[in-house]
Amino acid sequence: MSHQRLPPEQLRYATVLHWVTLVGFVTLVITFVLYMTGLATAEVPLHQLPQLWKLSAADYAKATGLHEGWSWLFAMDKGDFLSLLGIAMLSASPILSIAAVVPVYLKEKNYIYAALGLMAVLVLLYAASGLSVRHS
Amino acid sequence: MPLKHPLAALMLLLALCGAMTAQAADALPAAEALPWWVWPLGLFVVCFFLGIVAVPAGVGGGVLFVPIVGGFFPFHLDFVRGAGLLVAMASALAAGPSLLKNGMANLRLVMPLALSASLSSMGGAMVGLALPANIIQIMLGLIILAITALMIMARKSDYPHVPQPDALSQRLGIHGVFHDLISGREISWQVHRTPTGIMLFLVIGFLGGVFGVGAGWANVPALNLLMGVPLKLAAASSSLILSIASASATWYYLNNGAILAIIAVPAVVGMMMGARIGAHLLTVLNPAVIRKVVISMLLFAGVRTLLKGLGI
Repeated sequence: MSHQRLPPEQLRYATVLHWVTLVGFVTLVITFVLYMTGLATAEVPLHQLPQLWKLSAADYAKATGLHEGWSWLFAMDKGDFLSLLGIAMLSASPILSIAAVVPVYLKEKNYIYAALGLMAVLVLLYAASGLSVRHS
Repeated sequence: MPLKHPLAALMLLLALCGAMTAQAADALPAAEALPWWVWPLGLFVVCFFLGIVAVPAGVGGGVLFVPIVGGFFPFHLDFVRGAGLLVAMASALAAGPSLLKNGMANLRLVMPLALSASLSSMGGAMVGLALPANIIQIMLGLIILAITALMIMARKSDYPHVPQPDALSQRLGIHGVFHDLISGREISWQVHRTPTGIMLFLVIGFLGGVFGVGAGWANVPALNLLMGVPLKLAAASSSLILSIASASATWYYLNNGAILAIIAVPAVVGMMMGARIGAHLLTVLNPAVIRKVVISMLLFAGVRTLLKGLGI
């Protein structure tokens, strides 16, 4: 199907998704290599992981003294936290892609889809915000 | 012509990987004695082969990943589900742009269903991380066995007949024409039962969030058989819905410390590399045979997960 026959919002969504996902994958691989090679030292030493990854997420956090939510973003000098950057970028790509098409819907006066897009962005932003983090 | 020997070798290798990791994971003190790098490396290899079989079998990576890795590796199920969501999301994200640009996925169809699924997916993630691991393990075993039954029994309709679109889909403008590259035909489509579809995607999203298995196994039948979406459009749009719904659950897992890079990254990279090879092998492997093998793997993993949850 030629691009001319596709709705403009669909093309914009595809373009934004392509670039954000690409940057996310590249970041994921580079940061993981830095983590694995020790160029970025790990907060939790790699050799201790076999004793820790059998614990639940809550017990792992207790055992390692790690904090939940966005605390990892402020410890990017550590390889294990740095590696989460690519994961966060991939998880953010649907938010950015949907947010990019809302103005297109508004321009077309398609207020129903603009509202649906905004609601989807709000749901994803709420999930990303960490406001829903359970406190153990 | 289908190649039988490479397939047999592939299955033997998969079985060997599974048996070795199961043996090592069962003897946990011995598993801890192994160097740490054995596990991410083993995970990468297993995911690479899972990626190869997932594409020809027509299933998402998450549904294979969670029961197999959860059953045979020493990682806690919280981390396995977090990585499973990421595996499902990453595969769907990678495919998304081309599916949209070639008109195989439809954003108008995707948006309301993805909103519904992403809302409940986050709820599912909250429930999933709050429940005890053995309860999740038992429920996961049962759901994997149910998925296996669905894969065996579900029918498909290439071009379902939709005599009259429902009022909501007309209001939302969910209809279109897509160009089938294989048949060269222009396929005009419309949908019905949209309100029921939106409700069903609430349930599907919730299950995806609880178990971290993605939801392609349920998205496609819901779109195709319930709403009357042509099969290829349903498969492509399912992928896009999955990428949005999994993102909300992935954020919840990430914010709760349930995603470890050491597990998630080798899984994602291995699965994606395998999927690329799987896509190329589509022309030489017999998809029906692969599908039977995957059904057998799911049956085996489902039973093992159930027994593990029951402490047997």
